[in-house]
Amino acid sequence: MSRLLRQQSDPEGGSKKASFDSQIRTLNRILSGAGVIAAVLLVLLYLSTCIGQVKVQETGVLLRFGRVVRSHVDSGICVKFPWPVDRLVTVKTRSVETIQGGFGADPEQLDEFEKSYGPIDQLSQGTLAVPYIITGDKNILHLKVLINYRVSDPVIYLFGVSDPGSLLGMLIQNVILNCVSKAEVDQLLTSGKIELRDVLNRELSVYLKEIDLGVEILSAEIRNVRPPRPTTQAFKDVINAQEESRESIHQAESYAKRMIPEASAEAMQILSEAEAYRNRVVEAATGEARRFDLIAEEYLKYPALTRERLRQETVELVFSKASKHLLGPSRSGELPARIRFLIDSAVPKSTEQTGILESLKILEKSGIAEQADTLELP
Amino acid sequence: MNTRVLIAGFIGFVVLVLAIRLCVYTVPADQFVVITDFGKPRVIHSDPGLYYKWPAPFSLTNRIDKKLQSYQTPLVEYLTGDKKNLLIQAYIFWRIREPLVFFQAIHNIESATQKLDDVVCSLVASTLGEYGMNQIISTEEDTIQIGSILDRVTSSARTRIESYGIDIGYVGFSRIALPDDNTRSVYRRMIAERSTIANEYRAQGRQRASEIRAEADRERSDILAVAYRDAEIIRGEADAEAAEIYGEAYSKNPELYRFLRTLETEKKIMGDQTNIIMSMDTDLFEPLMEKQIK
Repeated sequence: MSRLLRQQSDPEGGSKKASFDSQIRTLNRILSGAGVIAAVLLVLLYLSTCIGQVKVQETGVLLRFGRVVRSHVDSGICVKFPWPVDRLVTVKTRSVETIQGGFGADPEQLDEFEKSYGPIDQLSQGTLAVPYIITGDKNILHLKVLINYRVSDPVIYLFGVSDPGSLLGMLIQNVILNCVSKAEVDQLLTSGKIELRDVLNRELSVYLKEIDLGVEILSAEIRNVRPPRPTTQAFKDVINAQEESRESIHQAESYAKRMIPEASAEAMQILSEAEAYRNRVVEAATGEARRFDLIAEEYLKYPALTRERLRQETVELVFSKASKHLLGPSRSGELPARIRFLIDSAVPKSTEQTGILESLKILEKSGIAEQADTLELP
Repeated sequence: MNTRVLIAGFIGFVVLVLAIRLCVYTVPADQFVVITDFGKPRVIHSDPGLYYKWPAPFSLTNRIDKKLQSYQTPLVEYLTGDKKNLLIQAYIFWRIREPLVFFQAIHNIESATQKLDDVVCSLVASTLGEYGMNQIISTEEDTIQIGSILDRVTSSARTRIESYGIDIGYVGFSRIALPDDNTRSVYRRMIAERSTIANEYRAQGRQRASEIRAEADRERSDILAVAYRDAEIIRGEADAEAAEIYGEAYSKNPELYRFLRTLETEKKIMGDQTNIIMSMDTDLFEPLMEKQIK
């Protein structure tokens, strides 16, 4: 380097050595040195245009005098001819871009919008500029979608379309319009969202096949579908009504769920009472029958005696409780008129026997029991 | 000596580069270039690459955009065939097809979009006049004619704008709205509709609930009825069985049964409230009375 400097400065310095002092010589040397450094830097700078870099998410397009020579340069370092021959243009192809579309503003945006009306801007679609969309059944809705897309063809994206994002935005609006202007508001607010998303995705891809913007749609999502603000309360009321309806049905169902087991329990009780009755009656019958058998057995051994004993026992029992009016036989052998009347009217003439059973018969005849008929006198 | 050569060489190089720069031009991939000699178009380049020409005062390069362009009309109020007002915003995708024609007729993008706006808006207006509101917005897919409206607008616009060297790629609607007055009445109608729907839901809920309750009550009654029936059958069977047991036992000695049963009955029917009037002249008192009577 120093030799080079000396070579350059010596001839100049040699011819005018006498008239310039050493300070000027030094200045001269510094200036020419700076010039050389600048020249070298310029050359290096120029040569650096031979190298282009394509970042990780990008794809490059290599142009030679405006003509595309390589339409797909992968990420990394790319060696090319220097400026102005070659030019490397890069575009993000691996990152997913999101564009917002739709109609109507978010409530918070609406507040700002109400304060000051801004100028209509293409890029504010789905925010402020586009107030609403009309559904097929002529209701007004606000809705917002997000479309994720990626640059699929860098050449078309860069050189075929002017402002592809804005074109894509218009297509999105158009597709939403197509879907919504034949749909019903209830459907859109409930189950239709998923359907809308799918249709959006599909139709947008169809449009992009026809109008190539160099992008591909990855997914569409419905961010929100809302009724406009003046009608929000009415829509909420419908949801409340649905809830109320569901709740009253739920209450009725829980009533039904409670009622049927209760009824079953009650039925069970009725049945088990009946079963208990059966057991009681049958067991009683069996016991009594057995008792009768045993008595009958003994009876057959001493019929008359047993009979007499049983009768006496009964008389004892019965007479011990009842109040008794005894009538002694009069001298004439006649009963007092009142009693006689009773006996005469009640007792058949043929009856010869008088006794306790006879008296009983009188009582029974006068209306107490019919079983008296079956009494058999010994 | 050496320095002079160097300087001269450097200056020569710069002059050469400048000269080349003036005589050479590139046609990029996204542009047409029209070369005019003293204003007279000579060459039209649509292929990108490097080309030569006379330097500036003689030949000039005119660059015309080749890309697909978009234009969105403002929101314009139109009248449909059934005399309803509708606000529509349309968009147009277009590109320059004939650079020379475009260059001569319009010259720049701004005046082109103005032209497109005029053409498309007037075409939309005249076409919409032949369609009803229901053919634009409807729940019945078959009646919607937006597709054919757009086709007609596109093809007419294409022929009318052809003479400007412009090709229309696509015309579409990006927004359909109603005038403010109509919007307000739509809001009112929507609110009314919602309240109808809400009432319907409530009524349906109540109806369903009472159905469920009635059903439950009926089921309960059914269950109890069946239980009652079964219980009665069981009781009946029990009575029958008991009767059979009694019958079997008592039939062995009916006479004894009658006797015992009678005694039993007497025990039951005579209580402490019973008055017994009887003669002393009976077997019962015989042992007591014997002496007196005799």
